[in-house]
Amino acid sequence: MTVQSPDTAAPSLPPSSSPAPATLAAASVVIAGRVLRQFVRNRMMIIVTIAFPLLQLFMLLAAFNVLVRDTQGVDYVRRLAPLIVLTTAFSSILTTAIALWSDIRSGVFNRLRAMPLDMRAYVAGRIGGDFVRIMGVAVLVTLVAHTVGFRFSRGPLAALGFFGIVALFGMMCSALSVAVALVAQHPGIIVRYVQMPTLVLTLMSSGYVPLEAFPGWIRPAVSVNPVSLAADALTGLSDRGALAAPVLGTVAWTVGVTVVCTAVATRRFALLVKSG
Amino acid sequence: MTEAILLSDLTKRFGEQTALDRVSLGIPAGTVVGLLGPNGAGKTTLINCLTTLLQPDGGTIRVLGHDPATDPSLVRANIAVTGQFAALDEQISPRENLVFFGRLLGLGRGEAQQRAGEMLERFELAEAAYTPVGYLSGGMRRRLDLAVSLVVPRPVLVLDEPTTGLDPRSRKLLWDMVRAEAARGVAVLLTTQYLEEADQLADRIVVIDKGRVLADGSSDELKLDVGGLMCRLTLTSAADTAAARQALGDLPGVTAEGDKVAVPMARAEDVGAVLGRLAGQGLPIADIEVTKPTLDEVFFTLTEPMAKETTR
Repeated sequence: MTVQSPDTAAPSLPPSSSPAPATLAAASVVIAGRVLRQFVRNRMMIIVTIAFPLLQLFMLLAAFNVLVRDTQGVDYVRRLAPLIVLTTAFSSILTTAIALWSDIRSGVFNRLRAMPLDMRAYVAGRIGGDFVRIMGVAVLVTLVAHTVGFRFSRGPLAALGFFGIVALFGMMCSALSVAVALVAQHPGIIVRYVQMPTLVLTLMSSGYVPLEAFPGWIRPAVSVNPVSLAADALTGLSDRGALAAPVLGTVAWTVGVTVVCTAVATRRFALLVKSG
Repeated sequence: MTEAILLSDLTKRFGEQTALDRVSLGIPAGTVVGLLGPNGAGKTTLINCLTTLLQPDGGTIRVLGHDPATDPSLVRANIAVTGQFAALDEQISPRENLVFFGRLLGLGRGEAQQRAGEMLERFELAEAAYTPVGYLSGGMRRRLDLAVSLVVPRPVLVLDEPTTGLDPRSRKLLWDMVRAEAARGVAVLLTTQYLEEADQLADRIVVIDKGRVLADGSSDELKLDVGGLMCRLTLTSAADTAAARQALGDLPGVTAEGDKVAVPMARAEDVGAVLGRLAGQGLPIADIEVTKPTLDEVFFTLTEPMAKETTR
């Protein structure tokens, strides 16, 4: 019953003039660009990852600067600014994971799946864009902290090391948010399992106050907390304090978390790409 | 004869349920095929198999000769898809969406910008070019969705219910775009629930229900096939409708609405039998008319025996 047009001059297939699809690297860069564009447009993300940490910096300085100087004999901003820089990355795990979760469940992801695209570019682009954002925000917040007295007093190499630690910590945060977004069945689960732990880890760290200020029984937990280790490393690299232990601790945390998260995320992602 | 899309015995099961049951279908270049069926007929499953989003359980698919099972990226490179729900990034603007997808499809930066500008003009979106997609109306999003699919021209276009919920102006624009693509030689497969759309746009209509192809042909062929003629009766009272339906109950494809009853007939002389049955029940008739069926009636005649519904 199928009718074929008797017209013999029926149009033939249009020449396949379509360009070769973007390479893995090029596609990753385009996707990372989209992540950054979304961040700049998203007021909520800007508030959570920049405005709120800065507000915290100013408020805590105003409240405790004098007290800390008088009792501890240190300039509080030297200890607080590193923690605030870490907070910008740490507090973005939640929002990044939710954004990624919605993106994967949106039509955009299916459109990408139906395109001649190496889907590894999606993950590489998300993580790459996220990393650039974390580093950009860290530099910005460090500059603001500079206006209220934060200084690098251990030379340019140590300052570079400072941002190296921020990069490691940021990588850990990125890996966590990707894994959480891929595993969670519902965004509510992300809130439940990310919000409280990140808050507790931040408060129970030697960032706001030194380890000695915590009661003895909790000190072991505080001292292995990744936020403590990274904050101590940053303080050591910008001002003074031990270096080897906190730097090695931060590296260990980053490698461990990234390896576990990558293993989990790779499996989940392959499944999502295959069957939606 | 070049078939741009060729499906044979395509089968897909979800657990116990058979979503596609040995569906065969060929679409030559430059042809628009309308896939018509009620909700749950298997239209979207068919499209997902064709566009490599789902893996079929049986049968074969060829897109320009490429097999999605072995060469998914070649299939993807040749198909432009517009899914049932807008697949756009809501936080960025229409122009940015077009550039984003264009670049992923391999356009250079300048080229992507230029194509984006052209598509915004063609789809009457130039005014909203810089507004985040989240703020656009449904019609604009749908237009942008199709524009994104066409940002890099490809030989096969697949549209899943492209005009559902659209205002008439957007619908007309979309229809014009689909016609223009077919005229360029693109093979188009579109699913729809609107019979008018299939009638207007499709060179060929394939009716499916419960995963099976029930009919495949031009609109006129389907109308002839279902029963050359349609006997339309107007009863003197809407209260008689149920009784009339019952009197005609064993005839296939009878539909009723208000005081009107429509009966498909193979031959004009069958009208005598129809009238005889109603007279036998003492049902008075206000008006009678014998015409060709509409596509709606074809659709209900084809799908009703499966739906097992008593009204409409």
